[in-house]
Amino acid sequence: MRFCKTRSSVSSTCLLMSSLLVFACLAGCSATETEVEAAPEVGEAAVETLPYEGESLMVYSGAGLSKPMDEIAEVFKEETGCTIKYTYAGSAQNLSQVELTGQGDVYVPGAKYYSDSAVEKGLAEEGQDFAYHVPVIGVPVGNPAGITCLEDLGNDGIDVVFADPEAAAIGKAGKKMLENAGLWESVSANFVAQTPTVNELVVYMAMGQADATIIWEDNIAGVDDVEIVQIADELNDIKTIPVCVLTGTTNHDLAQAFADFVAGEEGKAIYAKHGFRPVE
Amino acid sequence: MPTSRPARSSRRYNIVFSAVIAVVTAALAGFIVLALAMVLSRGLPNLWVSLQTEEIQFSIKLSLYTSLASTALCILFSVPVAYGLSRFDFKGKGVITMIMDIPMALPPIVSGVALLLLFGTTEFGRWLADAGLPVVFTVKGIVLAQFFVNIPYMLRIMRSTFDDIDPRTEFVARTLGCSRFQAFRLVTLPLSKNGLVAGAVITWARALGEFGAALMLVGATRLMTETLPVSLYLNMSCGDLPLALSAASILIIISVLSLFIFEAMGGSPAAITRGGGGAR
Repeated sequence: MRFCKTRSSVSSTCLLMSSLLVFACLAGCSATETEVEAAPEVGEAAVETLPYEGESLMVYSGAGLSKPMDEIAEVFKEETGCTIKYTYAGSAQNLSQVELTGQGDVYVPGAKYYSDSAVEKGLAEEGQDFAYHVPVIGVPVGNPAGITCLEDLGNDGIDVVFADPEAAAIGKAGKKMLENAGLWESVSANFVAQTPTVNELVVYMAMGQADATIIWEDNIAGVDDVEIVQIADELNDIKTIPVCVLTGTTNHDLAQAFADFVAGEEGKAIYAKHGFRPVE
Repeated sequence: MPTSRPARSSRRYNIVFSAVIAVVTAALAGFIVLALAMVLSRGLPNLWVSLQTEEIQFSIKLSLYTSLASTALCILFSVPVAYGLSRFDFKGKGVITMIMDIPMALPPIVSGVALLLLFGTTEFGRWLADAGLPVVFTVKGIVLAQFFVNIPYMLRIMRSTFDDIDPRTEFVARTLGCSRFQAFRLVTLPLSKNGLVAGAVITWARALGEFGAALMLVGATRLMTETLPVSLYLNMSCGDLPLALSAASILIIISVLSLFIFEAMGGSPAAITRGGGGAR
């Protein structure tokens, strides 16, 4: 009996280890996946019980939204006790993760296009639009190439970095905008590199690796080395950011509570602080 | 506890001991095979169709070109440096050896940022770009990233290979009138052939899979800097699973084949991490 016990405990340890490994591999799928464990663990003076103490939600979020989302997670944890675990990635990558795994509770893509697609596939419920995502031209500090408008991106000798239109919301929006303005040909001829998410573009601008890019207005909040040039309203393709509850959620009330929180006054205020324009 | 019949007890312990080892080994092997089988079972059926697409063809060609070029560079640098570290004693040898190993311990993305800063933002980088060797956002950058990440592996294998060759063979050659270089070229180099081939094969396989450092340095531009791993990542990002898993299958096949060649040439995987037991 003693031996049986030893063996079963070894094999269960072994099971545990392999499931940990599987988990690590799954987590490794996305290069930009992070977990935000907001606020310290419980154990210290839980004075009053919070409504969702000890519970957690898994939220897919566009990689470019990480700063306000992290802050929202902290405040939400303080108010409800619920821990938010984020998977940050390109909006389309998140969508395929939802589709593949069927897991997760809430989806916050960089543009409404993706939530519409999720609703269409039966993966998400109709979302609430809570902030505007405004494409702008990003240039290195001092604007060395003298970019003043969208047309300038197509000029000879301008180096442009751009987000992959298939993978990132800003890539898709930027491509559509340029196509509508009849500038896609000339501007795409100037592409020196493309990236899977908008974040790398900000890095390249901050390091002065190219003359211009198209990013979201909010990307440069708190970044000193990047300047923006506004795109004329009639050419621009301003997106709205939705938050929607996934149909596969196992805790609908809590997921809805989080979505309402993000789209509510507090969520909008945090977004405004990070350079977004809230939806009125 | 069991002390009354030590002989029987110890026999039973031995059986349990072996059983535990067998279970753990089988679990680990099964885990690895299962994970690979998941990719191959989905990737192989689409492989032929995917091979017809321009994107996969391009990434195979680019991966082959960059990995062969970076492996050649690794050989070029590792042979003299490894020979020097193996045969000469000098002050600071320990420090030099440690410096050479650093890229192996770094997360690839850190290597990528370091290379981006060095080649993108310094006078040296600008001078190199003006001289016709631009690396940021270019295919040359992929080769450079692979070289930087892989050189420690090649160096370790070459060093252990040279360490295993008796220096007396060179002394004998020199008593017969050879110069140091001639002794190296006519005696040591031919003797190290197996180690060289084994090292080159494993370096090449690693170069094929290099992703993080190159992603930072050159971006992930479709049909421009799209190697096989980048193709896998981009197509995962936009939900094109058949194409993504085909790229993954190709990488698995190449890795397994090269491991096989490496073993056949007398290399042992331990040589890479321990720096011991090369090939003779």
